[in-house]
Amino acid sequence: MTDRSRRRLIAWMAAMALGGTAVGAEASTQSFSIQIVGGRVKGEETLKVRKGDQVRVSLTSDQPMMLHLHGYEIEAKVEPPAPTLLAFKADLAGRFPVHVHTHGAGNHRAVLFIEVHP
Amino acid sequence: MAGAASEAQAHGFGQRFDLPLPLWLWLTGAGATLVLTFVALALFARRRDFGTAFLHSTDLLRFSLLRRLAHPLATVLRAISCILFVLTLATGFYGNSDAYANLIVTMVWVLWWVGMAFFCALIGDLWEIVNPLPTLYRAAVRMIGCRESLGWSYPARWAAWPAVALFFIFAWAELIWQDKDVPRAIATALLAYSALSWGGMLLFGVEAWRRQADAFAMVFRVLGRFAPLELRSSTPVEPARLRLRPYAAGLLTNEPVSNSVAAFVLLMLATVTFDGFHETPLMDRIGTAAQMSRPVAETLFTLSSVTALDETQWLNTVLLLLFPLGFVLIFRGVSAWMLGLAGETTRSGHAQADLNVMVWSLVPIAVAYHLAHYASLLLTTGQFIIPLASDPFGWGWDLFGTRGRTVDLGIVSPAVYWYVAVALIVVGHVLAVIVAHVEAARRFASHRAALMSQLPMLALMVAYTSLSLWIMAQPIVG
Repeated sequence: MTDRSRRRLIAWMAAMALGGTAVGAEASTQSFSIQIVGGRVKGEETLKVRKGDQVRVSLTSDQPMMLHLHGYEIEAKVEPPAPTLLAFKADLAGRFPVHVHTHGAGNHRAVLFIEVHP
Repeated sequence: MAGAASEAQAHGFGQRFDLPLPLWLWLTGAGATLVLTFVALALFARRRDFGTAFLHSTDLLRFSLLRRLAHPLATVLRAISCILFVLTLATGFYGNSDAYANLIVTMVWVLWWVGMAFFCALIGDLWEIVNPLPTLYRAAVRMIGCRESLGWSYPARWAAWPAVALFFIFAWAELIWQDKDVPRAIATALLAYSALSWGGMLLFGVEAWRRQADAFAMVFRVLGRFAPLELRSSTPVEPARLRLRPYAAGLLTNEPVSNSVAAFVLLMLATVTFDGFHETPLMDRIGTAAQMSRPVAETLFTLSSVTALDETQWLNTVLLLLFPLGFVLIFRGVSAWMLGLAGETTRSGHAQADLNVMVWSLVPIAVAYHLAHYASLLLTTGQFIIPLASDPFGWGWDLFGTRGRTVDLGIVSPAVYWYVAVALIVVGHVLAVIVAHVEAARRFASHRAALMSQLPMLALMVAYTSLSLWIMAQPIVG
């Protein structure tokens, strides 16, 4: 291996390592405002935060519904027109769906996902 | 409390919280796959016998200690498995109807289906030894004192097709059936499958049924070929076997592979891939597109109005059928291309049938993807077994003081999970490439033919590995 290619390899590996560790550097407060219309989120359906972040999601909906953040097991009751706040500390990494709770069986597609990156 | 239980049920059992692979890691994995493939090809070109060191295995029953231990250990394991089988059925029929409070759901879908598959692929085909269906059948026959079977001969035409059909039904139940987490429904299905198996054993004999028609004996046997321990309990015609070999060495075989067995292996691979695929955003878009296209939407609507399945289930069912058909077509195409490039027939002259053997070489990629896909499920949802051990029926018992123990979702960090998953898939790919090459070297007369025949196979493997990695890089939306 030549000197130059070795240097390039080291630089590449360092970039990889940085890519892996840059996420999760420092915790902060992440605020989102989500509007649900007809049971669907307007705009981006996946919220991305870092592990350790304080997450504040302000939810409004055109119809009353019970939302459930799976994995964290947090519930939020949304009653129009007032916004409801879903606040939690993202201390668990993963991709967590927010489902609408309906009674009885049926399709329960997630309305929103919260990705907590390590 | 009752409210919480019914809400938990509404989410379906076995929710996964995996973060998609980051793009750079997906690219690194795919890149490593390509580079390693070319390195392997360069090595093959130089030495014809590259990889044959793979073939050595050691007979562990030579050691008297193991020989003396193996038999009683197998008996104990069989007894435990029969007890668990009966307990699982009993909890399904008589226990709590909440999926999380009843042993059967976690037992069947997580511990048995995922856990047993892991064990069979990583250690050895334990199911061969502990399968409760033949054990209970033989015990019943001995108690009644009648003949073991009516002695009909198993129709040769059937080959392994009954196992193919049964496995398709099982895969459908796992991925599409809406009652798959209803304890009573699972227990009914389990009992129906058992009754069918016992019927088959009565007609054709235990070994004939288990060798060709029992889908699960077949699945775990296929996975067990990848494992380092070759486990085989004794049959009237064969002694027990316990041999140690390198990983994937069991995939090199001299036995011919029938079309039905090749189809079975491809069906297994296709359903594992479909399992990951049907949770991706692409599948979501396919669903939306199907609803937008008038003829498709109308057909789905008609189907759903005359049956108990809804439109999404029908769409999934159609795709679950198309996936294995696609895999078979691609495999056939690649086989034909291999023969074309090799420019000659194989040693035995039955070229197409001979190339069926190549399905084994795809198994390492499927095993690696299976491990990567289900590892987090086994480690998180599998934890439910701790409280369930104390209260299997969901009646409020506390046998071991572990009732009410909750699940720790943070047991594996996503970063560790990512690296392990990608490493597994790349290693699986390398093993697949080596197995395919050794097979080709054994089947084709000349070195050049063997080498040329590998090009389509390598293309197929790179595509399959990249698809597996791609699925893991997709966010789960299902």
